[in-house]
Amino acid sequence: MAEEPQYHNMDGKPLFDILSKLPSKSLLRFRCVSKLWREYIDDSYFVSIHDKQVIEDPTPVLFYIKDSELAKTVCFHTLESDTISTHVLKAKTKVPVFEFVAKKPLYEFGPCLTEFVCSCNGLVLIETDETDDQDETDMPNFTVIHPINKQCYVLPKLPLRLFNRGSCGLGFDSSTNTFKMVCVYNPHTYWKRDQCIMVHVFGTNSWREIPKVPPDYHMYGEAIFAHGCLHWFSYDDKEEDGARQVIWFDVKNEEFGSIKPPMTISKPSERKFYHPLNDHLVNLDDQVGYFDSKTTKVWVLNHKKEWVLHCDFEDHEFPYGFIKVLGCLNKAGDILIKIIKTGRAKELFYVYNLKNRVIHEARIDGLDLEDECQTHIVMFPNSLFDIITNFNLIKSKELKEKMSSELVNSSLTVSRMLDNLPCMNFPHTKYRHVAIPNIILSNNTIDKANKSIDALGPVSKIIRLC
Amino acid sequence: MSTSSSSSKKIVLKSADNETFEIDEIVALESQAIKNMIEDECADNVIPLGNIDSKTLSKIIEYCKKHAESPKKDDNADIDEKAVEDLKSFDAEFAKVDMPLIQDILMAANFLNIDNLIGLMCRTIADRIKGKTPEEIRKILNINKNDLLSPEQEAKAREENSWAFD
Repeated sequence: MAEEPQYHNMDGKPLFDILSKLPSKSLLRFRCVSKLWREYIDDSYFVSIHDKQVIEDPTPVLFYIKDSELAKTVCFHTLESDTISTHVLKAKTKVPVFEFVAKKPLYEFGPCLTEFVCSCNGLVLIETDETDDQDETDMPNFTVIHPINKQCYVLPKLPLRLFNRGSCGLGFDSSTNTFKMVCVYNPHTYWKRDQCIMVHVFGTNSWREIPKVPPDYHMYGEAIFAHGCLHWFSYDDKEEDGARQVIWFDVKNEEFGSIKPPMTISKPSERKFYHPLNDHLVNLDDQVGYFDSKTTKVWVLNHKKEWVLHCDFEDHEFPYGFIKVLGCLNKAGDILIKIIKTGRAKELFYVYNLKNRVIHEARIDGLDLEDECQTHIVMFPNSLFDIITNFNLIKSKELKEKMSSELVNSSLTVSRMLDNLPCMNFPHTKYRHVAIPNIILSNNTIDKANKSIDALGPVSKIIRLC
Repeated sequence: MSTSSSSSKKIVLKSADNETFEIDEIVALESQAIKNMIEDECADNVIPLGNIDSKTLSKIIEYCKKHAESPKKDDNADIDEKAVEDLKSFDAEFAKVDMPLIQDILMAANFLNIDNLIGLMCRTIADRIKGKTPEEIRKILNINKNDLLSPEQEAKAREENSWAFD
């Protein structure tokens, strides 16, 4: 140009277009380039556009629950595929990238539950339950964890006391760009007819009951989110030959329905170690997969709601144990499989190569796992999605200001403040966990808060989660 | 091929450094902005482009000529594959220029509203920067130094996204 400007001032559509063509890992790094770039990358419209455009290999996230005397800790590790062979997965670091700590009650020896419920878009839903001494009901607490961004979202308490555990699912409503959690519970008895369906929309402070109920089946296993619906495997042993169903819940319209599972014709060579309850659903690259344990075939539900045969493991001799299909490792569609042997045996992993239809035994390197350690693996889709920015950006900004201005080492202030956290329910019970996303508090603030809480007594502590 | 009278009509573009370029109207029509000007009949004889230098403008004209000559998708449902391949390799060669010129072309294409060229330049830039560090990006794209994050903000951003830095 004649009068060459010193800077290009690239902004507007060109910058937006360039950024929307970059993989999310680069974008997260480029938040540091300049204020303008950070503003563009953090923009919620950009995030929603970008995640649909760029297809990347997911990052497998492995986690397990470590049980110590004082706490149950969920430890997260990110894995990467070996460059030479896809059947070697390596943990990036020996130390977990993220830990979620649920403190055990101090004055009680009863069991307390910390369990993985399900995942959606790489976010992990953890349930931590307390048991009420008097009527032995369970009070569940739910926390959604974004292990990569090291963020937690604590859901409000369910306004129910429960005699038995129900089925839950986490889904995304793309019409409103928010997550939604649904719980199917029987508040009073074991009778299915008494079902109560509660829905929580992320960013709000409450649960609401919806009138629709699922068909009369027992739902098992993790809820799989795909095509705007949550899906559960369900089974009714009252019926002859055990009727299997796939129950779905439309996250946007809040309606239930069911589909018949794929028809299977059993061969004489069918596996001996078989039970209908070993069938399960799996998310295969945002499609609902159905693993039929009798024939070791994997089916995928297409957009016409028909089951299409995806692959089968028939020719492979697996060791004796439950087969669990974990998900797609890469764009090529290679599938990660786990064998859970009975007893205290180590879990075994396999990778099914979709192109060559071969199964290799897989290895997870770089971790010291105990033999009986039960792991979970979810595929994080390398999305830009961020819990805080999506639900509570404004709130957390306000909160940060509030925190720093109010934190004057007064224990009362801290406890009041914690009660007022909009996105973090801090219940007044003896069993509590506090998950403070690092984005909100500085180290210094957490130390101050912990000192103040220590003054209140040994009930709770803010734990930095990274 | 349409060889109607309009294709012989000439348009003159004038760059910031006062160089004039006479081109066929059909080539100029690749630019949505010029097309609008012609349709609104406000492009009499010479169109001055005060923010585009002659080096950039000649590259843009080279691109528009090639694309104007190639059969358009809406002309014919099944364009022969050779033409598509030919255009692809032209685009790949066209993009083999240094970063300052790519940015100049992108900004000019954005001003002239040439959709395909914007896309090509954005893809080229994205491909060249995706593996780089923030420091390298600032250098490559000559980012305004007054717009940098404060050291604290930068440390925070790095901590939040530590996963992306290894």
